[in-house]
Amino acid sequence: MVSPVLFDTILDPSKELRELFVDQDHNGFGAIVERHFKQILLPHEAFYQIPPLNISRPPTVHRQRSIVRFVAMVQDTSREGEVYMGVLDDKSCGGWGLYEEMARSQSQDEEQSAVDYSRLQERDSVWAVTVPGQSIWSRDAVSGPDFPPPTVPTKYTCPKPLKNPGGDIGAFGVSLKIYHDQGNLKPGEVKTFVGILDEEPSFDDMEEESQPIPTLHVLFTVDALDTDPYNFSSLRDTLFEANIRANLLQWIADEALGGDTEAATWVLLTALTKVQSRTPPILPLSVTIGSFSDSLDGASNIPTLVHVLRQLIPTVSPLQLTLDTLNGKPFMPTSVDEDVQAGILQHPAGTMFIVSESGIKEVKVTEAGMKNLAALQSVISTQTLSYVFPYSSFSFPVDFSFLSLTKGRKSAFLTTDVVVPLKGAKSGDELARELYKGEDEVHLPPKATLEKFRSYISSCRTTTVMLDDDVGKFIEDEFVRTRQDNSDAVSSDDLVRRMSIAKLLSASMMQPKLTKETWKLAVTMDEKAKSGR
Amino acid sequence: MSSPPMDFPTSEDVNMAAKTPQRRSIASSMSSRPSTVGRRAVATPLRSGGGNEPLFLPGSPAIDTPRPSRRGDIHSSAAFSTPSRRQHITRPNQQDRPASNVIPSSMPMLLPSSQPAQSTGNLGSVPSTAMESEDLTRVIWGTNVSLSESMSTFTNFIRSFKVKHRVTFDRDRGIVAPVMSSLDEGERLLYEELLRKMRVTGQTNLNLDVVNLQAFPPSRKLYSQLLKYPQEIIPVMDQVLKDLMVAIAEEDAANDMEGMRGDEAEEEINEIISRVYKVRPWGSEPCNMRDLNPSDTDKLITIKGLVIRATPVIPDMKTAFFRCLNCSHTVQVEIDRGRIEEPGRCPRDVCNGVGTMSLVHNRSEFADRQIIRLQETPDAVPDGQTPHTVSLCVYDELVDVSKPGDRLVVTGIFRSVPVRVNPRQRTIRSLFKTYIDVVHIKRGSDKRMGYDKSTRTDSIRIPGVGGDWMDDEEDAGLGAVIGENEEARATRSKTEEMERKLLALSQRQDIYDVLARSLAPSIWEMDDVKKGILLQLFGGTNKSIARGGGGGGPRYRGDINVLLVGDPGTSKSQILQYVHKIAPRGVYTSGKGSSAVGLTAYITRDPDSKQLVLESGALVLSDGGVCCIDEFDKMSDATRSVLHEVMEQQTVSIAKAGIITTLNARTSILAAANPIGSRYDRNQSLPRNLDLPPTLISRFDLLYLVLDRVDEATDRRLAEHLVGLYLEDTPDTAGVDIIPLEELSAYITYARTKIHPVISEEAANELVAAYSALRKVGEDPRASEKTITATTRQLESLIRLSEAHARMRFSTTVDAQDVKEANRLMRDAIHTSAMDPSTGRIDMSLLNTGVGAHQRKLRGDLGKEILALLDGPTGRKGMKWADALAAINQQSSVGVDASEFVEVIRALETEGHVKVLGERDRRVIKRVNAE
Repeated sequence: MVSPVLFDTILDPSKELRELFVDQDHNGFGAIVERHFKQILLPHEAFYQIPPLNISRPPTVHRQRSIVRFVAMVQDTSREGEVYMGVLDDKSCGGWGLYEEMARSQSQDEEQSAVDYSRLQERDSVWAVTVPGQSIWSRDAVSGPDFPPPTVPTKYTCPKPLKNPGGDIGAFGVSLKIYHDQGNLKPGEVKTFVGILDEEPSFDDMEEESQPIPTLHVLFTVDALDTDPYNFSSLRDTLFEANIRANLLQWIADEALGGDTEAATWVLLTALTKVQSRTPPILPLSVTIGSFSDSLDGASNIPTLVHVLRQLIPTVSPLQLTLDTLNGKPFMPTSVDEDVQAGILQHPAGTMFIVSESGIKEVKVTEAGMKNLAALQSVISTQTLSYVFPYSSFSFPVDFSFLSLTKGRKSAFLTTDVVVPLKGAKSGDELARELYKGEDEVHLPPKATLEKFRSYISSCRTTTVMLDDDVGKFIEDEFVRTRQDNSDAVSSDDLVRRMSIAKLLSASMMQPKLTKETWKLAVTMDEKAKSGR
Repeated sequence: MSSPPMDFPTSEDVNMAAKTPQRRSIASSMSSRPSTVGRRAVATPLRSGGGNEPLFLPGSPAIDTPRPSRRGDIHSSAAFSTPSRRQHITRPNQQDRPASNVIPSSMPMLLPSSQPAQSTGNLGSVPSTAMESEDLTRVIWGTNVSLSESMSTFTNFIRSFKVKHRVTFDRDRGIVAPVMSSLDEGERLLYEELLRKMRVTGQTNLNLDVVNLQAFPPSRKLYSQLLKYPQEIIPVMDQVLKDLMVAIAEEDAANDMEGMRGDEAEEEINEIISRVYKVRPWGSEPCNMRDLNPSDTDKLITIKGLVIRATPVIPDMKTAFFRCLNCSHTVQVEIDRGRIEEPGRCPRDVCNGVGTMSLVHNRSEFADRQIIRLQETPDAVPDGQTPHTVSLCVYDELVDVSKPGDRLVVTGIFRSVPVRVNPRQRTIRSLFKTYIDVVHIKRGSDKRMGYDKSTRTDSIRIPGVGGDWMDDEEDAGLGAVIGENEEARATRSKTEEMERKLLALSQRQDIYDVLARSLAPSIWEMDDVKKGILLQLFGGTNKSIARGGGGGGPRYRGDINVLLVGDPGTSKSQILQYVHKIAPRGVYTSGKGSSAVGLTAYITRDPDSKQLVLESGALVLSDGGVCCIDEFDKMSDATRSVLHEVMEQQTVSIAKAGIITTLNARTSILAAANPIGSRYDRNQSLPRNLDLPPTLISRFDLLYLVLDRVDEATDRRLAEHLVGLYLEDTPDTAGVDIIPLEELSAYITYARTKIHPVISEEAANELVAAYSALRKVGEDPRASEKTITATTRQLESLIRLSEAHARMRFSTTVDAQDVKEANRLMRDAIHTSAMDPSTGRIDMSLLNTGVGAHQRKLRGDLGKEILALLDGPTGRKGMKWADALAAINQQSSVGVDASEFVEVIRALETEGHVKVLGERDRRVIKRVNAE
């Protein structure tokens, strides 16, 4: 049960902070705070008592200046450090918004005549946003059983909408104040921030305009992975039924792909793929599913596949290549007036993008649109995303998987490693209706099965596949032999791609060693895809 | 601390009353000649008008608005007003302050650093004699820094600093000083010279290299004082500067110097007295933007960065001018911490009207102010981080000196001021805003970027005199000795170390191979391609005929252009990506994704000013660097046509939205293209395989075919390599002997900036030999026709490549070995690209015109045959296209290519021999004037 002490700490951390501050070394106070609060709040049961700050529980539902935990993606680290009055006139603590709290309650009007610069301290200011593309089940799992999502969704409008990369409804950004070095926070990183939620006016150097924005005075941070229930190592030992893979593929195929299990296999492989190494580059496999009908006029153009994958993968983002999106929204994060505005591609590592070309019409693509397409292609082929700053741009490594859906034989805009056509019994409008049915029309398997599917995918992603020397030799021989027969038959690129496919296939079968059979299967799949059959 | 002439020293506001006499007294006390004040009075009789001057004086020439004596950077009057200098010149004993109309609360104090806040009064109107006696005791608050001592130290410094001091100092620090032309050089009194120059040129700013303060033994203490208490020391220096200006002018007058005789001297000295002189210190060690912290508040710091945004000039009110609506009595009020104490009532006892004082805007004094946002330069940003920015406040002469995009080294005072929740409220937050009050701006280039300096000219001058803009001719003499290349010095230890490393590296025998290997190490083999690109990165030297018409004749490009053609999947793109990373000003663009506009420049509307601005495209951005263009063949014709201009003229012409201009694009181009039909057909010549106009192909110095060849040994090695990567989860990247990326980049930049090889006699002979040998390849005793194997373009390329190779060795001369290697690379490249597959011979015209000599001959024969066919019995009434082709094919032992047939018919049609009627399949070929 919750101890009342814990409860007090969560609801009124200011008191705790003030008491802690007495007789402490002011310069290293950030570290003391971190240690102290970690001690109280980090134990598992206490941690899940901290109210989560997320889309279903936006800042307005929390009591001001209470402790919350915020699983968030670091969005903007370009703000310079802030200087604040660390020690107040009465020798009390001035950080963590305590000064403002005091000022609010006392409405002091006295003029500060002098400033003792030695009492100034520095803190970092960073923007973080709710994890874009996060599935609801994943969010709820992180929130813990004590904080079920409210039945009536709370409406909240983010004061800084340009900070949100995705199209998630209710997404918001929070300005983080970091008092103690939390390691180098990198943009795109997901962390759990535990801190005091407050509201502070933003101020801009050039304009005096200010609006209240949610602010989190960070007490400590935890790596998001450590708190993700789907990453607990215990899961890896779970025994899965032998046919779980087949069931999963069947479900994906039936619900979202018009019954094509082969395409479903490719979807599954895309879901498992990730960056293995950057030098030399072993990057995720990108897949295009061709002959994927456009949505019917008037119908939603979000493919059902998105809804289905959202049930399985923690972060899935649909990317509709409509002209409005392409010409109108930046794909790359861009610094405008020293404020990094999120680009559509600013997502945490592990995100699966479903790029759909349905809804594109014959209109001119502008310069901005061209840049966006180029950025998208470069993320697919190099897994680095550029952040655009005035006069310079900085590339950051990302780890996304891409599944592109196109009506044509291959995508009009993007080049992917593999292109497979969708095959099914149905066609025309019937197929289109099937492929774009709404979220509520998706037949969900029983909850337990769904949970199993999620754990299965999660453990496949963490399976490491090794190659035995004899299999390696076999592959080499095959490569050399095929090339001797026909130079056009297989290139080094083909070999690299097939190795990727084979490893993913092996992982999806939960085999830690790649076998010759799996290799042959991979080659067959690749050849089939290549020939467009 | 000079004595500013006032426009309307009418009955003054209390602040003013307290200040003005004090200033005057200091001025007179400091300048050794008491006549100063008197002189001034003579010079500006109008300004010292009485109490009730008319508001608007007739005849504006009389009112030459004097420069405000206050410096915005030191005595800022924004919301965060910092202490004005008068507040710091403080005597411990203040009892003798006349109980004048001084209100202490109106003199707020924000004392620097850790000193407790304390309200010190102002100096009242103290007689100058009293001041003099007390000078010894005046110190900066909380320290034992005596102001008078600082003054005399600085006077001594200016009077006696000699060039040799700096030279010795530099030598002690292990810096190689430039050789002095004579012994006298070292004995030059640098600053006296500069002061004279300031007088002659009428400048008021002295840029003071603080290293010189360090170098001059008596002033070493002053150096650290300056860094710690800039807002106290700088005004002291300003004062000393002015006094010395006067003193030197008078000495010169006494010595009857040229231009300083009689009235001239008098006028000159009066002029000097009316001016405000400013010392602008610079040259201290730059620190990182991220390292600035509260403890630096009010200290003098130097940072580097990139201007990304600048506000328009903000008029900053310095003195408010009020006039009584009743009696027209006027009052001037100084701005105090961003606020004006508006007089509630008319100070004149007779009037004493309440609320009658109204602000007269055009009589108030304003200063220029500008806020600049300075962003960290990309190289200073730690790995995996985004750049930070700081705000700069620039004042007066420094306004508009820098523009967005400039790289600056800025010296200024770091400030922290409380942020108000809302401008109308007094409650402040615990948050402090930080910015820098700039005292000195130096525009500089970043060494690492190291673009080609010969491509740049700067037009805007930074104000002031003294050891700053060393490229300026008039200062060249001084600059050669003092403060040369201060940026390098600032990062000297690091740079030196790197330099030593690079020099050591350049001594290696196998440097060429090591560098080539280090270029894109993850890419399999392709040694020659890498070598070619390596030489491209070093580049040849730019040559211009200096004595041409119009101040500089044509410029011969030193840029080497390289084209990679090859099968897909041969890592061309990876090479490009890599080069773009290490190349100075490297820009990467894909032919597919870019339009002509994106490559050259586009016109957009600036969101701030709503004005049309020209934004540079990839080619202009890479001016002085390397532009990497992937998917070169996928470019639209319009885009490609731009490149014709760029690759030969090295400019980009723009005519859009009313803007017509030519921008420089002196860039090397590294392009990659895929062959037609994605696979290279070895039985066809290169232009046939490549969808690019021959005119463009011929502009590349080196053209490499990167082909996917089937070879068992290579295939096996490749497969082993690739499979090996997948054996483990994290592949092993155990390195062979390669140079890390940063070092490679530094090496190239160093060579590009420092090494300018000249062709030696021996190399020249070698060049001639190589060129004629190359041309001789085409001579075939058996063939009646001569094929062209080399043109002057190849000779130029050869020269550039040889220069690049010499540069790579850090050699100042191009030797025979350079030419040999250049020739080898060139032959190799030509061999693969310009070989006519049908004859197996090299034919440069293949690249230049797209048609080889052999092919030309074949075409001629084919044409004759077709004409014969048409003249024959079957062709009299014209022949169907397909029939004609079939007939020709029947005759020929080798199959005639359909596309070849089209070319020949087209040629015959233009020559007027045949006529083609109909479309597509129904085309009929008719003989014209068959008779």
